[in-house]
Amino acid sequence: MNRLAAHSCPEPAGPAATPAPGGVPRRPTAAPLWLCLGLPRLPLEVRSGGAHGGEDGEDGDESGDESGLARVIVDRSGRVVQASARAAESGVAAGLPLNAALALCPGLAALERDEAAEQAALERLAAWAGAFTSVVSLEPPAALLLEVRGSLRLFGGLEALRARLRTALRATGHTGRDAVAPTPLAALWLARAGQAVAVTDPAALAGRIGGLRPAVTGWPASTLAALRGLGIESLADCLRLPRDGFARRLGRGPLADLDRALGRIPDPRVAFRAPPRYRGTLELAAETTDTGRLAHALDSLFSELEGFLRARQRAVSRLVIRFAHLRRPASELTLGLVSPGLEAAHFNALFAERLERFALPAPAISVALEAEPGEPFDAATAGLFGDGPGATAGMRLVERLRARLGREAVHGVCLLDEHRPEQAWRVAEPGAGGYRVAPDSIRPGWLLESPRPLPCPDGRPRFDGALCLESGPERLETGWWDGGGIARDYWVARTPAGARVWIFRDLAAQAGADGEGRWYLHGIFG
Amino acid sequence: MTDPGPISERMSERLHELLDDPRLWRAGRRGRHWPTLSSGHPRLDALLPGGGWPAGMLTEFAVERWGSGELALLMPLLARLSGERSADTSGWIAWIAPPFLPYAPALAAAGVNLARMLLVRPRDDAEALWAAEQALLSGCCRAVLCWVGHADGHADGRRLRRLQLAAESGRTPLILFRPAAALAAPSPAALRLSLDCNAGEPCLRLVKHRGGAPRSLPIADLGGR
Repeated sequence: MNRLAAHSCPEPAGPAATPAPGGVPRRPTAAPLWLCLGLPRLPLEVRSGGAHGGEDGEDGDESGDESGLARVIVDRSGRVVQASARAAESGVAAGLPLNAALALCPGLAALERDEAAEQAALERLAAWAGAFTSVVSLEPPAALLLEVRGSLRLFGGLEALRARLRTALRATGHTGRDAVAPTPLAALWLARAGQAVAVTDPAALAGRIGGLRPAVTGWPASTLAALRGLGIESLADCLRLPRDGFARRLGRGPLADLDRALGRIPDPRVAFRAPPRYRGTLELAAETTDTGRLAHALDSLFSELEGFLRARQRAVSRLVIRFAHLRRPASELTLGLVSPGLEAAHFNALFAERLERFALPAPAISVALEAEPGEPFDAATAGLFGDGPGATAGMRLVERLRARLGREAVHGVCLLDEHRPEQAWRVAEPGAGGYRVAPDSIRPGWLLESPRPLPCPDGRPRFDGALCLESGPERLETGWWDGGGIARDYWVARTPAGARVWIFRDLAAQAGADGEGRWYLHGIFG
Repeated sequence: MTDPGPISERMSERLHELLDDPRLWRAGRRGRHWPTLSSGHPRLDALLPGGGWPAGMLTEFAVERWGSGELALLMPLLARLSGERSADTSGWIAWIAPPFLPYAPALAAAGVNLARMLLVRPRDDAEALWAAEQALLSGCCRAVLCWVGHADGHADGRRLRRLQLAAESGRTPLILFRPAAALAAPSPAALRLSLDCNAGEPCLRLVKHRGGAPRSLPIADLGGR
């Protein structure tokens, strides 16, 4: 009899176990290897902000989704799609009508399913997954397919790659299950079944997926009911059925699916193309002004952004964070980086400092992060400072200080070619000023922000007592061409206490009642 | 009879190791207490314990009146630190909350590389001390200068202790300028200096250094002024 599993189609990957003539086992190096990342908790995660919520439920792994609250996601027909861990404890499960769920768990909060947000989150995660491979394909509603064969060497093997992927996924706040198989569909089915296995040998594939229940295929309910009617409990049972009979009773679609899963017919996938900008939104579990919660929610967006940027080998120098409020326009916070960066931890530290100073006008209900990838990342490692590890550390210090104190509070200085003392320098980006020709005339170490008029009751200027002129005058008469002209005689003077100061007489000023020109304090010889 | 030679040798080796530890306070020790940075003024180096500014430590500097030579004391050190072209080409000279604008032409004339200048203008003493701690811990400053305005308030003993530890861990010298009144309170600083105006003659006084007697030096003797 012509059985499904025995159907003689050429194995696409070839007989992997057959030794090659030289005695070395031939490895199917070119054959693709698919990793499916299933995101089973996505409906809840997109509605409950910073998925493994807050300080309370830090158990991390499996059901570390929502913040320990009894919540369910319901679809339009009022049936439970997904229940939080707390709700599940009370017996609430997917498929229940909301009324029944409420009866089981009275304090239950019901949230409507937001499929658009799920799709957006999936796309953002696809962009994030670009950090692990160049071929990412969406598998709506809640899975990503990554072709990882080409990345194995870079990450040091399949297990190392999976470990990295899991750690990075946890940082984004999502819960995932990954499975690896030579075909995308098999990987997807294994992931849906929750089997975190890696099947690399095509010959072992039929055995591995044979054990799965037909429900993992996502076939229409009528097909699954028909299979149940035939007494079929697993995919292995399906594979034992005759092909023509299977096709006649259940349709061509499911048969083709089985063939695709086993690699008998090709299964081309559309590669995901990430948008040029990163834009992520996260709804918060509850309205909040708590900086800890906000930072936590943004942490996951920063992690997504890092993956997005790594996939492109780009860095950003400006992040825009928007907080949405209930009954008022959104407020916005911009994070400027002195030198472009891409690390989530770095963004996070900056944000924490900045948030401390930022007065949130009202509780936030959601946060959004937007960034445009800028220069290639390699340029980012070479700061203004020259190279070496200290260079970026130096810029990080500037960023940290600016995040808390404000941009204008941290700067460098540089010289200008200008005779007016107050214009002979200006603030500059830290690191920008350099050696320049210094003036040869004597200048004080301290300059006052603006010259301070000095009283001179008996014709002699006084500051901390009568001043004794030590040297001078140095006449500065300049700047008439731009309207800011000065005409001054500068003197070095000494106060009775022994401090040396830099004072000038304004030649343009009218003589005062005391018959002398007007005197100003402009600098101090520190 | 056992040979005491090797044991006593080992002991003295251990003892010297211990004595060289900068954390160990030794009364009356006049030698090199801790790694120091030459001030660039020979007379000042002679006054300062160990022959210079303590490296990687907190120095407190009380200045009675601005303009009595407080910057001139530091300039040669800042010029050297900012200009050093050692293996790492980074490193700020952080000026945190200076009382006036450090005037770039004068700094350049003194040989300070302006590209290393990091001017930080916090709103109050608490922010200034925070910024100083960050600058020290970052390990990317060659020197941190910080000015605090109030004798008491934020710069209390605990805060100073934290700064001292930050300076040690970042191996960065911190010079903290404080009002003269602040010298009344005890402090964990390695060195406390005071610049007083005695009858019109500014005079630098060594108020405290670990294990040393107070000494003083008239600023006019430094030369160059």
